[in-house]
Amino acid sequence: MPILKDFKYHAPDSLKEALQLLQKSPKPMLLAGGTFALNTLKKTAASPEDVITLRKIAELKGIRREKGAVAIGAMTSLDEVVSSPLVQEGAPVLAEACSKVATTPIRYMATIGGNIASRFYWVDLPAVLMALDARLEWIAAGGSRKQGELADFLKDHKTKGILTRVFVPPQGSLSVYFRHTQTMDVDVPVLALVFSAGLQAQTLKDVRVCVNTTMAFPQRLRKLEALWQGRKPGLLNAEEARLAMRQDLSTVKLDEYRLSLLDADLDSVIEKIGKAA
Amino acid sequence: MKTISLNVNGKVYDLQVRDSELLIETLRERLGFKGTKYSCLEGECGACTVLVDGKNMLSCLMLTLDAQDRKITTIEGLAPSQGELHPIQQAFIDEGAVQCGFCTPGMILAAKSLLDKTPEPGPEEIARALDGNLCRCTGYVRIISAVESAARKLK
Amino acid sequence: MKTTSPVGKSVPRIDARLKVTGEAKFVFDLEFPGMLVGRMLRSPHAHARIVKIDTSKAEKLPGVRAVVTAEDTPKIKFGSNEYFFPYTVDQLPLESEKVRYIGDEIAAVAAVDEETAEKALSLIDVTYEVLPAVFDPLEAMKPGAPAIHSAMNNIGVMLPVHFGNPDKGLKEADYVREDIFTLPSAAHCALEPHVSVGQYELATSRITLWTSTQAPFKIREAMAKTLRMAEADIRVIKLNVGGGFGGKLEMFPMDFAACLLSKKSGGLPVKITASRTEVFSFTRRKHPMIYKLKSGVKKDGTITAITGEVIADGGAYCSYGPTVIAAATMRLFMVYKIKNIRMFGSRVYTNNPVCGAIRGFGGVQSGFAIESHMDMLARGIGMDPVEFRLKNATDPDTLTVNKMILSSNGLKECIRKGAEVSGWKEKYGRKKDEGQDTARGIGLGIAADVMGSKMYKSHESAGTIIKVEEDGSVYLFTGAADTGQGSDTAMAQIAAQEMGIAYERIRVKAADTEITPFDTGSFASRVTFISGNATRNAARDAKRQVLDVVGRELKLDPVSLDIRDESVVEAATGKVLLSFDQAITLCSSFNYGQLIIGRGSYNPKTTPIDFRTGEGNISGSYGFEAQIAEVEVNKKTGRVRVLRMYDVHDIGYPINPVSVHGQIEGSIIMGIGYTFHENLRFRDGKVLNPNFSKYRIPRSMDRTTIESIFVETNDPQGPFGAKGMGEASLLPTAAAIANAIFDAVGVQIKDLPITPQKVLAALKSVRT
Repeated sequence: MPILKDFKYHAPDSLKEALQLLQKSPKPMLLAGGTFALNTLKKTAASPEDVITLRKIAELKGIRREKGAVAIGAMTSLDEVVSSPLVQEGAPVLAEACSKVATTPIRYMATIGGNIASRFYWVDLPAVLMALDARLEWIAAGGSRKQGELADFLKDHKTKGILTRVFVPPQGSLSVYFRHTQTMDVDVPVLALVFSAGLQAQTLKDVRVCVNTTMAFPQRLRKLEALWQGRKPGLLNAEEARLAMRQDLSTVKLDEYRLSLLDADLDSVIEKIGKAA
Repeated sequence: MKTISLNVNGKVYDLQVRDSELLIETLRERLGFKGTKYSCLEGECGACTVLVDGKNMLSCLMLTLDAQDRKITTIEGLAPSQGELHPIQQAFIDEGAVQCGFCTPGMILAAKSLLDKTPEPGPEEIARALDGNLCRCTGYVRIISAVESAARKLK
Repeated sequence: MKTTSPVGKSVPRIDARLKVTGEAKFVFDLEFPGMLVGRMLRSPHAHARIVKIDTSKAEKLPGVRAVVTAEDTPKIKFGSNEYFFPYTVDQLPLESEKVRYIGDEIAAVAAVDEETAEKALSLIDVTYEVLPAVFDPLEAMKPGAPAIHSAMNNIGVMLPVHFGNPDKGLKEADYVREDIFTLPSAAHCALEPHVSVGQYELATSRITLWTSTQAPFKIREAMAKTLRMAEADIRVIKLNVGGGFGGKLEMFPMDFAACLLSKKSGGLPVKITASRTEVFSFTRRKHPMIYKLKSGVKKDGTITAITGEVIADGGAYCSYGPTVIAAATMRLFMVYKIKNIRMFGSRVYTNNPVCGAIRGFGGVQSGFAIESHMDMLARGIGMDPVEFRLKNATDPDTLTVNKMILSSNGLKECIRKGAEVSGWKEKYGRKKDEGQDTARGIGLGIAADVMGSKMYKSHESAGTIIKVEEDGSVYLFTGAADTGQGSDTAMAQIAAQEMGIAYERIRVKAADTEITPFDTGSFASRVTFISGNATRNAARDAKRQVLDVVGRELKLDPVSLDIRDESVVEAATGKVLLSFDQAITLCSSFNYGQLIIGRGSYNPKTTPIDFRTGEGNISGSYGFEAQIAEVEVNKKTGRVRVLRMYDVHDIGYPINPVSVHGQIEGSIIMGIGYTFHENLRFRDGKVLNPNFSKYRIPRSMDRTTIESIFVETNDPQGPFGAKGMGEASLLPTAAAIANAIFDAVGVQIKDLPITPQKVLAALKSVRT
């Protein structure tokens, strides 16, 4: 001992109290599951004066239905997201993605809020949440509740506040998640692809395809989505899809390996949704 | 420093701990529970595994103050009574799952967490549940059969 | 519970109960009253002259109890292979003139807590004159490269191997091929980090060192040399060790510094624990190698000549370099009948961290290169790889061209059996369905291993003492160092078997240089064979002493008696005369008062290797195996899955089958790690991935189904026919997998690790 440099620990009961502490402290740090924050303290020069844990704030816990969407409290552990019947029913691909993050003990400890707040765009959840058109809710430093797009939040490092909830709107019945790692399953991905769509009268609607190239922010493949929108699932063409994908990702300098993986994944998506429909 | 009550292995300890103290430090250095090891201090190796309300978690990534009002179990708290062994511990011995022994406490606790939740896991489920615990000696083969054997005994 | 005749049975490990309860003590857990925290000061530069070290500010910091530099030492160099290679003695425990890699130790502090020790390090003022550094072995060999030691062209070790007429052999071949293989560096990743506790006793000037080590006697020898002390004044104690794998086979500066700091602090115990980053960056690592081979074969499969060159990056100091290079170039002789061979091994100094012993000692690198090359030779003449190995594999009772005596040798049986259980004939070369995304393949690798090697001393003796207490409990003192492989258990089994008593009676006290007899340590898979024989001899001696007393009492010739199944019996008829406990009571009775103290030692009959030619019988016996891998390659993603591994192993006779299987399984999974994931990367002398998140070792989900089969050849020299087993199953794994990948998709990856990118790139170039 001691492994960490000293700081003052606070465990507020309410968001109001947490915000007050956040405002008062010259160098505050929020603590969710600890899997990211505590490692940061060990490995970097970061030395907060006050560490404010969010674990006692009831409002941040729990998964509920709210106006048709699945509302996930920021302090929900990844394991809780995986085992939630609401998530499994409403957004199965989110449960799948959470089940593939890191290792079992990490999934017990890490929270969805902490994962998003880390602003790591290359990990599993951002791409998946973007494909699901998820929205974030947070309380800004001033006390007002705000909502916004995940993509905007990821790019915004300046907004100070506390993430409160993740809203996942109702999804279509088709979803696929592919992720690839360099070495083993517990790695962060080297490439991931999320597909989500609904079926109406045997055609695809609300098609959303999001790619995590890990080299740049996760990106919706708009051209590919437009290509597949309204099409019959059994009539999707791999060649076309590959072309559209390359156009969508033209600004990202993708290596041969990632392109091969994307081609393979598109083939697999086409095959899977062809079967499901 | 703060004065807290910590529930470890069913006993409540009154302790003075630093605000920034990690659970691994409290367990090993203040309470003398040397069975909980560490090998990386960054949550990758699983040697610091403890049970928190029955779930396997990493004590190197938890502030002791965050462990208040939670039930912590270390390897020392697993056996039903002094001199006896928990079936998982016995299975590890019987199946040849113990070589150098450094990963063993963490592995056993991770197995306990799994079996409490899933009484009859298949080998892939077991492997998944132990994915946070590194072992360099055994190649995991006999660790997994030990957990399967323990599951059968616990039925 | 009384298990008699335990040899050959998978009795529970003698230390397993302590380990499953968490009670087993490691040096990692050791704590003493007044213990100080020690830290090492290391060079931030890869190559520099030390102009000045000023420790005054650090010494004045409140809470600092001692600061040491080379000035506190006799400045005597040590080397781990010095007996046979005196010119490789190149390392000082604390450097004073030059630093040669990032991490080179130059000072150490002991303070009341970690924070103070850390602060004290920052207060030590070192003035360096930075020198040009070199990190690539090929660059380091060029004239004009920065001179790291005094070795010309920075070549620290050169080992030529030459027998027969290889050029003629190549000319006579029907098929010749040349291949270059590259092998990366790797880390041991034992779960317990390096940790040392040093205690100096002022009144007697004696040292006690507790350290996580595989070789306590080796450390004692090195400390005695570098501190100019008598070995008897240094006690090195091994507790439970959380894995070694070759990374804890020598004295480290932290061992040395912990003791020196204790002395300077006035006799307080000092503990130095390496962090995971420090273990990765500053202890030892695997020699990366460029392995060139050019060999010829006849149409009928006979190998006519093998030639080649090995260039290894050795890092800044020599460590076990010579042994690694020797193992990398000479293992061939145990495996293949060769008459014509020319290999040249060079170990080059660079300003990278030090390369040393790691499980397999160069045999992993050579295993990959040679077994891949052999498969390619076989293909060149259209021969099945199994047939090719059988054609050229060594036989029992042979003298190899370099004078290795292979007595018991089950290699061919291992190959045949492996082919049989794996269904080789039905699977190898089978038509692959071109349409599918995945393809399956099967591949073979064979290997042999030594049971010890006289690499750091003139002898390799192990000794055991057995004492029987009046109540019939038995203490066994062995110098053998159990680091998890189960040697304590094996010794207990051997002793119980030989003495005819229950395994449960035996208490093992091991690896304390002051109390246990000498043993060179846990390396080269030597312990079961060498220490086991010493134990058997001691047990035989103890038994004889008991039977002597019984014989006198019953007026029977002790030679006609035996102890079996916990009873003294008439050897010829098996008639029970009295129980073992009664016999012991008799020994300590009034008329006899005979203490039973058995002693035994064993030094294998070997000859030192002549390192100018490669000639010598390095081991008392040799182990052999065939390993077959079944893989599935995803042609779209490049991902390779190992479906199954078969390992058929000539282990002589298994003392504890589960323990042996455990070593095999652990080795194979470690081999899979080296094949696919493990790559210790550097830039400008700094390790880029010194942590478990970026240096990936196999996890539970990376394991594969392993079918481990023993071939029992009952070695004439091994205890109860047993050979050793600790490393061999790591040697052919990468090649078996690479060969299986070829069988699946027609590409041979010649440089490790086998990444999806490499597989895809290779598949692409095959298509175009």
